[in-house]
Amino acid sequence: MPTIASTIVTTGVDRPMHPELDTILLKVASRCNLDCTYCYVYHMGDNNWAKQEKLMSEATMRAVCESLQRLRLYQQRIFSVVLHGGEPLLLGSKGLKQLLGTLRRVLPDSYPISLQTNGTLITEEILDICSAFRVSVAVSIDGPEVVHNGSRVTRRGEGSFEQVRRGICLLKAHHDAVFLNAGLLAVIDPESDPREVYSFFKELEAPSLDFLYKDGNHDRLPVGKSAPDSVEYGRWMAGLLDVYLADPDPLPIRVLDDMMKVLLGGMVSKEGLGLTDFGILIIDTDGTIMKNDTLKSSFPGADRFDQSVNIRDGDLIEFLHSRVFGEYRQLQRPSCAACQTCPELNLCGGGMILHRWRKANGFDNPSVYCTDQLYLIGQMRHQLTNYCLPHV
Amino acid sequence: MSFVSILLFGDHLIPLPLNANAFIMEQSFQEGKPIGKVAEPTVPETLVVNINEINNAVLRRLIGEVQSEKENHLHAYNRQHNRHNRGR
Repeated sequence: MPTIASTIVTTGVDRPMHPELDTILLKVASRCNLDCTYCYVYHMGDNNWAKQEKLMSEATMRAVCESLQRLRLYQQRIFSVVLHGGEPLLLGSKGLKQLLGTLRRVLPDSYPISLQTNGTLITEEILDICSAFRVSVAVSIDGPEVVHNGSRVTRRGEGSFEQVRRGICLLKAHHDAVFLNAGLLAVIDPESDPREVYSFFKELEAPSLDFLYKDGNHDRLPVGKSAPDSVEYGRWMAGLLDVYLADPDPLPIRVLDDMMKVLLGGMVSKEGLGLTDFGILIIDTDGTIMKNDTLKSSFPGADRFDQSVNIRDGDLIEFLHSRVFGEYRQLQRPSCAACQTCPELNLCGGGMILHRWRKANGFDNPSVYCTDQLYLIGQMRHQLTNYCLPHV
Repeated sequence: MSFVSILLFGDHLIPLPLNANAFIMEQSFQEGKPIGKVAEPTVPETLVVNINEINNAVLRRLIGEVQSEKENHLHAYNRQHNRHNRGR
């Protein structure tokens, strides 16, 4: 393990970034049984997945759990753990039970553990295991069949909609569904109708929703965005906002809730919005400690630390005090002049780091979704004004 | 109250300079200070809102959550759920 200087990086205003974590994402499987066209893991130029073990080994799982136990004792704040991939349910029921059993021995139920799945491999046995170890399940589905199957396909190119819907039905029908069913996650197709998408999720009786912009940057525009200053995604989200606010029995939408709460004087809960610090760390399938995995969409290897540390032979707490970890966290704070002087910065937060990338000058740019976000924020302010609500 | 000024031309958007009265809300990192060189913050308006008078289910819930989180000193960093946007 390389020697790591115990340095706390300070910001331009000499404000220390406390080396703590709020989310640890475990890449328990490096492969996926789907082949979604927009996937940042497999289709954006980074091929690290091919060098990985297919599934996290028992030795790595033990090392992860030992590290998380030390982290629990080290930091006062509770952190959450997300099982991710690839497709985490490729672990199978036996592997999942083994991992969750070990995790729960070191993390009490007050530490949230969740699983993000494509939904195709959900079984009653899997749900029983998740229920027993208090692990919530979130499913990725993009909308009605025609929308979903446009991108989320099997390796043979066939739509996965029916398999996913079957998994969601099992989840909804489980006796512990109130706890287990953590909500749905959709990637936006800006050519779809946000009213139809929202109505579909209502009919599906999802407990809550979240929406993601497609990955991309200034050198590689996101699919569906015609120019850096176009607003296809902003208009789509504004359409969703309209139908959301018009619904007397609304289905909570995390991203819209987060943004409107800032306008109402509150704070955001997720990355890529607002100006609160967050501490997200990825542990790859082979145990390597990585930056936010979505960065790999910027350029191959963008999610690797300069000084590679593996959880099996390195110390996580020491790593949190390292220069490289401090620099990584510093990245989340937008640095470009346009953002620094933008009055909407406290809400927008400069967007996701990956969306700022341009080969010529790195991450020192506004988000490629800047105009979309400004459009959406303008619509939000307009709506709040319509309800005579003061907004910050 | 502040408003964003926006002109739309077809599918392209041109943000104009923002209202000079716009202010930055106080959103904390660790110490409740906004980031470095952003527009000069002013004192946030105090929201005096009767939730029951808001004829909108989403806004009613969100205002209730904002009030509750403030009363319980909940900041984004110590909320007990994940913040990675690829997980729920």
